[in-house]
Amino acid sequence: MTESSHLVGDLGIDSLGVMEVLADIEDKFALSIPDDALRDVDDVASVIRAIETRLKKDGRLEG
Amino acid sequence: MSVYRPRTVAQAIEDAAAATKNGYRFVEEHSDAEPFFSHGAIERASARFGGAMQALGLKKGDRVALILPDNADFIFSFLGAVRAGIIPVPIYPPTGLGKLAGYLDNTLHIVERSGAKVLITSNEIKLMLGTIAAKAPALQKVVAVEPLRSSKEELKPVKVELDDVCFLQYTSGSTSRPKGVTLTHANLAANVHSIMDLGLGIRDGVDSGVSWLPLYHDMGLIGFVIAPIYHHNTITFLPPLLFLKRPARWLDAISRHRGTISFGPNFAYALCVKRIKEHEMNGLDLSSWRVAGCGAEPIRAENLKAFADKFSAVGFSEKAFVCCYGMAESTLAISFSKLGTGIHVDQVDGDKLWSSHKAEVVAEGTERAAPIVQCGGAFPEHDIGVFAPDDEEGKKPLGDREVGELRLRGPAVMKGYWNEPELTKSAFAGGWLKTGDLGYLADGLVHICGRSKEVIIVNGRNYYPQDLEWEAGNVTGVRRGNVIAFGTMKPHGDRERVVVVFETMVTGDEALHTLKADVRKAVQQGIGLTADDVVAVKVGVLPKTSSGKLQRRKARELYETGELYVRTSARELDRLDQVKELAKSQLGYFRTALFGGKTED
Repeated sequence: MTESSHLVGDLGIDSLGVMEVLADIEDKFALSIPDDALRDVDDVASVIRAIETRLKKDGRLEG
Repeated sequence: MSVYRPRTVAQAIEDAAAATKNGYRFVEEHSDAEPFFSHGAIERASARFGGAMQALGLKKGDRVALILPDNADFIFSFLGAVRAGIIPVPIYPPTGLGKLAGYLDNTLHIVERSGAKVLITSNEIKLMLGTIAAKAPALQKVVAVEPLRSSKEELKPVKVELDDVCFLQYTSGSTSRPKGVTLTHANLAANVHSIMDLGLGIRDGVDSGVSWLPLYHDMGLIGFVIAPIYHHNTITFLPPLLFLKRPARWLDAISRHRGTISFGPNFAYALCVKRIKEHEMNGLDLSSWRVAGCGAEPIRAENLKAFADKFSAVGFSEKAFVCCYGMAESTLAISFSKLGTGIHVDQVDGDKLWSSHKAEVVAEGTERAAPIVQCGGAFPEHDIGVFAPDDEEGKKPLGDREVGELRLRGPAVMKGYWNEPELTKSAFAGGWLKTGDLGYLADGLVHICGRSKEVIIVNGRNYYPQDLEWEAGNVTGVRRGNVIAFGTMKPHGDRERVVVVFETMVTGDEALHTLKADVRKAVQQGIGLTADDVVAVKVGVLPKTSSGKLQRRKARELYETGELYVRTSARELDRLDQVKELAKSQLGYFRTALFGGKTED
């Protein structure tokens, strides 16, 4: 798995799987990721970006 | 149970407003507020939305497309339109994961075909839809819903009658194109009566429902928005994505609000078993849940039993399960298993089911035993018949336990598809609606064992193999026209597995791996469906008829038995392909000419 691994094409995660990953990420980082952020998610790097964006917004990560 | 008197949905809204303080409650992901609208408030809110639509120039009989991800926006717009005699056309909102192109294409088709004059959506989706208005000639405006929420327009009274069209229910995909099931108020009144009075024994104003089901789908919209208005029940709605993200929230809502009725497709129950953690069950009390409906996709008894096993500890009763058969063309519900009796499984000989089309009872545990879930009998005033799939006259119904196509008659059956006379004609045979589902009746009770239309159903949505095949066929390296997609019911996990098999000249493990990933990606982006298995085979391996048509059922059998993998170099195909291939060698050509080729059929 690399940052360019596609969630669906390379890792075989389906849409239900994506929702599960989302819930796990929210719990792990104590974050909330809105549904519309899903539209920008396709590979591993985009997931990392989504997490970083919200951590920065909360002031928990230096930007 | 009160005496049945058919009413329009518009009338039912007014009656409910005058009679009860029950209504709709909306659960939100990030707030505990749970806004509640009494039937009186629903009447007023829908009047504002209906008035706003009239102010946009919409008149009785005009169509309005609705793409509204927010449950409250959707419900008030929908009911407002219905009260104004405007025909709503619900369209599902875009979800994530980069499949926007396919989404826009589908949406444009529905907007064009329905002839919608106005499309109402959120500000955000409006931006995504871009230039859709320019491409659909009848569409005059794309309107954001946000300003409508505070509209002060009054609803001008419109006479709405039972035979008027209430709304268009676009079904997901018929060989790539959705069709608009046309439902009248009479259809809805009849089916609501069947569901609520006859099927579920609903206690007016007493039973209360909980639903996370999407409202652009018949089970969510008719079952939990429309039917409860007729029967004055309180319904608690959750956003569908919240359920998919945190399934425990569904059961939590049932527990807190003492829900008595809730429905879900098979996968929803399986998802709860898989995802809900021990600590999320603390404090849950599901003892109020008397009807746990299951429908919209093939039902697997073991999934439901696993749910009952897990949640009996918190008061769930397996007897609450009601197994349902339905389809949009018959408004929503066709038959329900008997209330309060749980799951009934018919163990039949799986081999004879397909070889001699007979459902012969065998003992449970026998090697050939196939468990078929029973879904109850036809509602009064409705008929369910079984016919040979090619019986276009519909005059020779098959007997008890004979397998054929299930067909329907009765007041809940649609008049036809909107603006599609040809498709409507081919949907009926001798006055019976052809469901496309294969099954049998045993003592008048419906048992479904497959589908004649080769539809793949995943998480309650229909997908057509042709669509998947077309997307896969566009990938460089895949032999276009030599792709077969199918669903397999082999017992893997909790649902039908989606398999795409394609022929290719590409060789080498790494190159094939990349190619398979490309195919998976193309299908995901074009259709929004994740293939469970992508298989690359050599040229000539896929089964075809002698006329060169792909044989999906055969391919599925070969896949299930593992033979597909063995056929790596076999060219046991149709004669034309053989000739083409063998023509390269004179010897081969002679051999074919002299001895003939092996053919599939």
